[in-house]
Amino acid sequence: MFTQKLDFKTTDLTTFPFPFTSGNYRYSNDLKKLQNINCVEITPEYELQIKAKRRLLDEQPEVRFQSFPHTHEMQWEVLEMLVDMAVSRYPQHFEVEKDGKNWTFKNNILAEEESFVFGDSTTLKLEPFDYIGRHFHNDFVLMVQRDDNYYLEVGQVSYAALFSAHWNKGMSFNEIHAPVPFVSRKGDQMAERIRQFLHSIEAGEPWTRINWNLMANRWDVNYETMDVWEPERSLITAENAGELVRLRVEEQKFYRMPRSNAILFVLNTQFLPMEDLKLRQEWFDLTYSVLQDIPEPMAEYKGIAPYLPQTVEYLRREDEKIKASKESEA
Amino acid sequence: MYSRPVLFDQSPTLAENFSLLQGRTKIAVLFDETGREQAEGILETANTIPAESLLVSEDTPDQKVSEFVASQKMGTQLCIVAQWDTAYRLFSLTVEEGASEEEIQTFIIGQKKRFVYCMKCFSTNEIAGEASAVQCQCSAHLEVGPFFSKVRKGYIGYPFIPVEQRQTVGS
Ligand code: HEM
Ligand SMILES: [Zn+2]
Repeated sequence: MFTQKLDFKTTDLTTFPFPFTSGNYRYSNDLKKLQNINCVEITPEYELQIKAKRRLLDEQPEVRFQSFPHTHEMQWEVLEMLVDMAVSRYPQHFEVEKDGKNWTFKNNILAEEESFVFGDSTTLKLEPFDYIGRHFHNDFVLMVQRDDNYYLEVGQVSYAALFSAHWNKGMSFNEIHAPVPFVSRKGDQMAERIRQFLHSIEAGEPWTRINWNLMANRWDVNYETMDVWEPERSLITAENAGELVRLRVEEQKFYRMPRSNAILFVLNTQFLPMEDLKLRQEWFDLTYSVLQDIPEPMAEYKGIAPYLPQTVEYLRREDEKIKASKESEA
Repeated sequence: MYSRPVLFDQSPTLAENFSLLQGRTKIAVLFDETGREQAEGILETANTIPAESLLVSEDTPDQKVSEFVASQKMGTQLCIVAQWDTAYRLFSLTVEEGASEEEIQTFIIGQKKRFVYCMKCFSTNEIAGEASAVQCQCSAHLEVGPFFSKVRKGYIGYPFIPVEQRQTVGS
């Protein structure tokens, strides 16, 4: 059975999408134009992350991958986009031969090669979205536009922060976000405005935002395992928070798919233990400040309320040590 | 379609009293034996517009209901008057024929039913009365959440371990 022990963290800090730009955090429509529109990124943790992702998909297929049968054509469109992005950014790691509809895709990092007929799902062992998704450490979700809303019709989710592909299958953007205590600084309801904003996303011009959470000694938390992680959170103390509590960051990217008109939601999830924040003084200061000022409903919703005080206490003690050592230097 | 509306205790189609919905010029009433009296009342109230009705029992084949619904013209309001299980079946057959929630009024005879979806074993369980927690057939304890899935046909059931069953860890 999959252990939730997290055996990796971000080691190349230049690839860590640090979420905070100011000392307090509130929900907002924080979407920005994405600069590098290629979502394929190989980090030093690539192999570890792929191994863990595939193990989850194999052990809990019902939880981690869901799709409707009518989505295959849309899935092939996603496969094509990801293959092209991988090959263009990392030609040494990924190769594709396209002989009409006969394609061969090579992943040189994992020494894997697969031949299939593009558009013919019977030529792959997995559904096209599931197959291609297993070559990248990201989560992928396809939100199909119908009338005025977006519906989750395909999802591969292996790094959940209360995200269950199984539970959210078929739900609209609004249904998915119903549990979020979406109150902005101005106090207005945001879900509607964000949904309207999604309409303006055009093919070739993706958008991005960063979501964050804390994880108490786990890879992910989902509704399926709530009975396990809920009680475990009380094991966090100010003494062990530095090692066990991780800042969990999701870099989210939103792509309009030109043929299906669906929105592909791509998540890059990275982890940094609280103690590693000290490697960047600015990150440490911002995180310490933000965590002291989380509104109660947000802490409850994120599932961090039971160990937030211990985590803040850990940061306070570290902060004191840093200040003391600066004083003795002076 | 992939996620059609389903009948649940908060369905916008549930009504206590009959009223003619906006833009409807005809009514079609599907009812079971328990709903006969109320169905007749509806037909009487709406006696100025064309109306049709179909009495449905457990033995009535799905196809007969589907044909009845399919034969209705645009602008028809569909009324379902029955006990929960029959109403649930009639509602599903009606939306399968393409009817939207805006065209349906549902009248339940007797108790409404609620179901919780177990996030451990992915099955639905009936919720007894107003209970806020349920034990699933797989033995998981579930807290009944406020969110409903049309695909899973139940309220989310958050698994929890009752306090008395928790192993004490640390102090
Ligand atoms: C269109 C694709 C999107 C999908 C599939 C998606 C999915 C989700 C899911 C599954 C959750 C967790 C809900 C739960 O607790 O059950 C969530 C939370 C959230 N979403 Fe989205 N989302 C999308 C787009 C967006 C956008 C565009 C924004 C903002 C501009 C946004 C903002 C948020 C926020 C603020 C939360 C709460 C997260 C937290 O505090 O940890 N989402 N989303
Ligand atoms: Zn169960």
